[in-house]
Amino acid sequence: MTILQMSLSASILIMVVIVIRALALHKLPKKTFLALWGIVLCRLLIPFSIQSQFSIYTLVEKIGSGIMEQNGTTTPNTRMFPTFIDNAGITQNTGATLQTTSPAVNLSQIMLIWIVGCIACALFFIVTHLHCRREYKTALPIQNSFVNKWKQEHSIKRTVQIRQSDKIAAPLTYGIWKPIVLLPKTTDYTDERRLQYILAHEYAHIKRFDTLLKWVLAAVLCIHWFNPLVWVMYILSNRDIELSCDETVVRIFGETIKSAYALALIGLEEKKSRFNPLCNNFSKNSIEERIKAIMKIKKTSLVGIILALLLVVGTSTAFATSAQTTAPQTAEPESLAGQEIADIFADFGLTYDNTSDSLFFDAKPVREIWDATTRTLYALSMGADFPDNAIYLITIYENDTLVGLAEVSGEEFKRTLATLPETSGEESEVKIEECKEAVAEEDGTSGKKSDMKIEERKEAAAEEDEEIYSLGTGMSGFLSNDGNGTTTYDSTKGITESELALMVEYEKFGLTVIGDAYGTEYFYKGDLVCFFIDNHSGDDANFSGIVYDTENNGGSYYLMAKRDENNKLIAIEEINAQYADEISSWR
Amino acid sequence: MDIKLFDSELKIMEILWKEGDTTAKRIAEITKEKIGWSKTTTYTIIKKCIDKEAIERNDPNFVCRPLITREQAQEFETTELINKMYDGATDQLIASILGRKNLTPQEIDRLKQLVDHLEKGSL
Repeated sequence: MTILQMSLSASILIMVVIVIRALALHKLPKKTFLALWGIVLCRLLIPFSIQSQFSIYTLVEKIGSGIMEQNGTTTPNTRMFPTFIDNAGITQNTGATLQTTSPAVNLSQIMLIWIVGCIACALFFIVTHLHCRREYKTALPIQNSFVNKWKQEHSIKRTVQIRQSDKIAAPLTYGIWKPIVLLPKTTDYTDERRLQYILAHEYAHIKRFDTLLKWVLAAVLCIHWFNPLVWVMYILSNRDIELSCDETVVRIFGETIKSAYALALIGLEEKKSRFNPLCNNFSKNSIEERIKAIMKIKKTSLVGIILALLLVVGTSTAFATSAQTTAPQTAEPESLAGQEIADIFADFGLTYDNTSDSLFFDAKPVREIWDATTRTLYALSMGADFPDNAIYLITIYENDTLVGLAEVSGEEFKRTLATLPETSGEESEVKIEECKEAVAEEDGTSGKKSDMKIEERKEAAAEEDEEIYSLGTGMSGFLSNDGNGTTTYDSTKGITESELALMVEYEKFGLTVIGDAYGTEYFYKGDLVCFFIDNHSGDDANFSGIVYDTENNGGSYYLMAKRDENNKLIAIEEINAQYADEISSWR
Repeated sequence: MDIKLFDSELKIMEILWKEGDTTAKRIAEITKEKIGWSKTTTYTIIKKCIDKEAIERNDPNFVCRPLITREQAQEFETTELINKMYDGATDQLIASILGRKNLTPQEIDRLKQLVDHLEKGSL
């Protein structure tokens, strides 16, 4: 989990807490909000999260996948786009890094900015604090019998010093292990009642380690400085610390002192002290909110406590946990995905072999499984390396219930795949029409042509094992071609939008990308392409983009994408085989 | 002599007024015992006083010598108080002090003598 992910997931939680705070600030014990902020802090600091089926994200995922299933197909495993090669020449098998500039550079720049921000924030806090700290250290002891008596009566484990300074205007507390309460020189030591409230308030801070909490809050702010909601959290939680302390004081002295205590606060506010973010200030920020909060303090009812507990527990389980993942994102997503597919169809004889990472049905290896009802294509993204006896499977339904799996031929499987979902939608409507044409034509002459190509490819594969050297990826059925140059996109089969956009770009210049059970094929002018290169970087020496290089797939076209200085695709050119060899050595 | 001294600085000055020229080390010992300041804190305050030209530093041994007298400091504080609280009118301050009614007959006698003395002096 990255800092950004932590920040984002915590943002939602912060918003929830802000709403709860706005609605129930005066209705619930103030500790409730401190507890809620505590959950937020955990979310912001702990780089992993507990999965919960009650998490709001599980719900979102469920709703989300529900919509997806209605719309069409979801593929359970990663569908991959042609191989991407970055500057360093390392082959990357991911469509997510489809970027023209090197992602590594971008990332380190962002990292740098983030670190600089963290340091700047931390420096601000530390410098301000140390400056104040130096001033506070010059404070003098107080020779006052009432203060000394109070100190004796309210002794805690840590030794607390109460001192006086002429450099502060309002009482404050600093220090975690050796706390020091500072009173301004202007304190009226004869007004013992008011003095009592001040000391009780500061002692409440000490007992609850609020100074430590403030340090943690500041640290979180330094880490998440780029997130405005964390700043909001910082301000509000600091206020809530004070509100909670006020509440404690009122509880100690009884509700009758509410107005006297509020008046004492106002008196102190008049001599507001200078800003130090890391000390527990008696009078600071939003005095109005504090006065209101004090005046509205009531005896906490049992209902209030229960409500507060429910709120804290509910919020933490619903928003602070992550979704219970159905597709675990571990280092081996594909093998796990394979196990998952096997689990889905376990009742119908599908098994998964971990060592060879393949699915088996009736002792035969399985290429792909097509569930026409849910419009889901199950496949391991292993690509072309299936043995000859590998089979295709389709699901069999009876009265909307899955009852079994059936073996079908490759051609039959392709035809089934091309059968369209019965859903509508502005965008997909067009596609449906296109596809119907495609299917209709496939029944005619052009269908044979397409089948022929498959035969050709099969032969080629038999001849040359390493034929598709840079494309170990299965891209089954995200594009279908009727063989006449008409290409239909099925955006629901798990390719990213950027990939699709790129394909649409190629299509404009007559280059068609087809992925199927055999791997990915490129077609140009109705024939197979054996070499294609597209350098996104616009710099020959600095390659980043797509290379499709097969030696012996029977294709006759060697192609190169031409891009202008703005990196816009302007043409796809035919090149000769020799030049292609030369280019491929660039990497 | 316009030197505003904070309480902490006055504490150092008081030691110097009482003990005369003192080394910084000795001041730090006294403040540690009496006030609970650390050595660095005391040295920081001494440095402030040197900057304000209330203390002169003489080496070796960092001997501190007060550059202002207790009376000068008192006078400054009083002037500031009069200017701040009594619009610069000294009689108002005196009236305010007399109005507190916690003066002993002896103190009142001394004040009377002081006033007489001032009257004769001004004539």
